[in-house]
Amino acid sequence: MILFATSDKGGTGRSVTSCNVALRCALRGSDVCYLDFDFGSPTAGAILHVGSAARGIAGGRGLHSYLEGSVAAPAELDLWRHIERAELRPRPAGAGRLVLLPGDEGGGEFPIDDEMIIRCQRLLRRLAEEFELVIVDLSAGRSYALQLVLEVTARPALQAMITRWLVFHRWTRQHIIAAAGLAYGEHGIVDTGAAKGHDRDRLYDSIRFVRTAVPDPESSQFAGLLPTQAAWLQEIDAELQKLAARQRVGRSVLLGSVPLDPVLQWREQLIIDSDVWTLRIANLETNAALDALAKDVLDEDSWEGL
Amino acid sequence: MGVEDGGGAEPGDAPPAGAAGGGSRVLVGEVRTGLLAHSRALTEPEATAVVALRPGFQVRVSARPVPHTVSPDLTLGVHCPVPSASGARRDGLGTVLSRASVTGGRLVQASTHARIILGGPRSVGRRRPWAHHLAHPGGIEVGGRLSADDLADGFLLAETGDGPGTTLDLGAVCGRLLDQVQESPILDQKPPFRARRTRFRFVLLPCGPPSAGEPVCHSGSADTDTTSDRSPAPGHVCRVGFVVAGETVRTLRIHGSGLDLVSVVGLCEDLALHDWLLTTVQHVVAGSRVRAGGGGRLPSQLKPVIDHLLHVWMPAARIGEELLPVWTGLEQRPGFSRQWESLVAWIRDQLALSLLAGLGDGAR
Ligand SMILES: Nc1ncnc2c1ncn2[C@@H]1O[C@H](COP(=O)(O)OP(=O)(O)OP(=O)(O)O)[C@@H](O)[C@H]1O
Ligand SMILES: [Mg+2]
Repeated sequence: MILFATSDKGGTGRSVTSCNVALRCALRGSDVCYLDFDFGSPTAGAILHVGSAARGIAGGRGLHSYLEGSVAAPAELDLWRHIERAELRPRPAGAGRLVLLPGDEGGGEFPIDDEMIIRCQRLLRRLAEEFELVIVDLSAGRSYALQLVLEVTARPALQAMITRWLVFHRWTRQHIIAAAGLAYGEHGIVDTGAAKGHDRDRLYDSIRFVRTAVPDPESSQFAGLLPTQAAWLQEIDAELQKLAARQRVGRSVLLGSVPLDPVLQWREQLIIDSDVWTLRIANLETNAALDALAKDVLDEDSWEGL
Repeated sequence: MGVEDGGGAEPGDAPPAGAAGGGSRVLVGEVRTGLLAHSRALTEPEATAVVALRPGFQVRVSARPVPHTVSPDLTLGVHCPVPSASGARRDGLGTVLSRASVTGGRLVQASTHARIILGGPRSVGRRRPWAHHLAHPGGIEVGGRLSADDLADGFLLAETGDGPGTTLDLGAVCGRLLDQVQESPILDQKPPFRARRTRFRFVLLPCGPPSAGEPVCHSGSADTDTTSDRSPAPGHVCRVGFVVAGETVRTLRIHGSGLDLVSVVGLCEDLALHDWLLTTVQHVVAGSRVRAGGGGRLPSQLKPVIDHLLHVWMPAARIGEELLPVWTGLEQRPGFSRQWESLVAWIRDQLALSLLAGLGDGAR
């Protein structure tokens, strides 16, 4: 499966959440690769604790260089050898492969041409041949990267592959409306895709949503609230649920929801067991939510047509 | 990348000094092997269509011992520096040959090779016309001093072979060909399981003791040439070095004399195929050992291996007499067949256990 991670707004938690999902899917035994298609700011390396690729890879070997045609194949970093977290090295028993294809340091957004489309298609097809899960982290909004992959996935060579979409958004009015707009609105994923030759209904059905940094009024985090504040939070939450349903981003298309987490709030990083159990800095709920997300991403039932 | 499509090459920079007379020849090549992107084994006509990569040219088909379909040779013109361990930049001009094949309706390979003629009769300043290179496909003439070992080391030890850089990159040509086959509209892109591609790089060098730094020179007559493609009297293999250079990279260095190049390439394709089988099945078995279902259930990952791969193992089936020593060498160390048999035995045990468990369930 090729999974495109998108969001309308920047800073939604798209990269942090998808990196954590990639890790967890690999820990569950799947072979996973992660492509940093956020050409303007390729920072997946930083989230994945790969110091040498924190802001993309140096030396002109990244995805950018590959798409532009200056290298025959982009660099692939075996994360079990590059992650700078002792708990994850060497490769944990039973884990699948986990590979990062970083962007180029100092890259930027670029207009797409025909050659680039062919290269992109070739790469995605090859990776889907080797990996059960190929996560492509796209730049926020209606970017060149989004255009590129919508174009590529409409081509015959990729039409046979399973391609799916995740739209990340925060749990606020603005974010809900923006996420719905990116998926179903004017020049959104479905619109643009259909114009490029995608089957509209199929594309529509392949989109799911992930809510990030969601405050849970029930959680101990909010235990100190005044009763009036707690009631207010509950009320807002209920309103947002209604809004989400109206915007067609409600429960039926919800893949998962990650609670607001103190660690993630301060730092873009992987959450692993030791953060929860030994260091006790990350929340149990976050751990459980990320696990559920990883499980559901790989579960065919989550993607059943509506 | 230093590879350009066949056609007009431009005259290069000033010719390096020296190097005249008959040069030594080194065969260099790479084979990439993977699982065909299709849900079931291809029939012979399907496999033929998938590798019919050059309209008007015949696809070779053999049914035994395992169905095997080979594309016509594809020629690509190259004009770029050849690899060198010492970092010498020596320009090469000529063509490389590639072909793709399907084995057992399941496995796909691309292979690319070239005969590199070192210190050839012409210095770079007096290059032969393209017509000459096109009439001798698969040959690359290198002007200037470069020893066979320097070239071989540079080629075998190259990090990944995917650039960046402008050096001759057989791996990139080979990888692209494998992609091209896998993109065939005949394939449904739904393989029964995921498998990594492997890269198998090989060189064929003269027999003599390795002479550090100096070009190995021969009298120039094709008959005495180590790597003649005219296949004179049956040749022989002097020594072989096989290295597992990474999870998916293998290198093979053959020193031999009077060997038929086409057969050597065939041998390497066969070795790469079996190495891929071993690597892939090992990977699946290792995974299912860790995640063994327990209760005698057959680990689900094993089924596709049993269904699709076990019967493809047929070592040295297409190898001529004079190249058998290479296989025999690899049977001693790392012991290809020994490893394979122990894997197959383990899988059989799991299968037997699961059948017994199934019977037990039925009796209850
Ligand atoms: N569940 C969470 N709880 C708290 N903070 C979070 C959570 N998820 C993400 N964050 C934080 O939100 C910020 C933005 O996250 P991230 O960089 O993943 O967003 P993005 O959508 O990829 O942004 P960009 O568009 O800039 O690439 C980061 O500081 C991250 O640590
Ligand atoms: Mg990001």
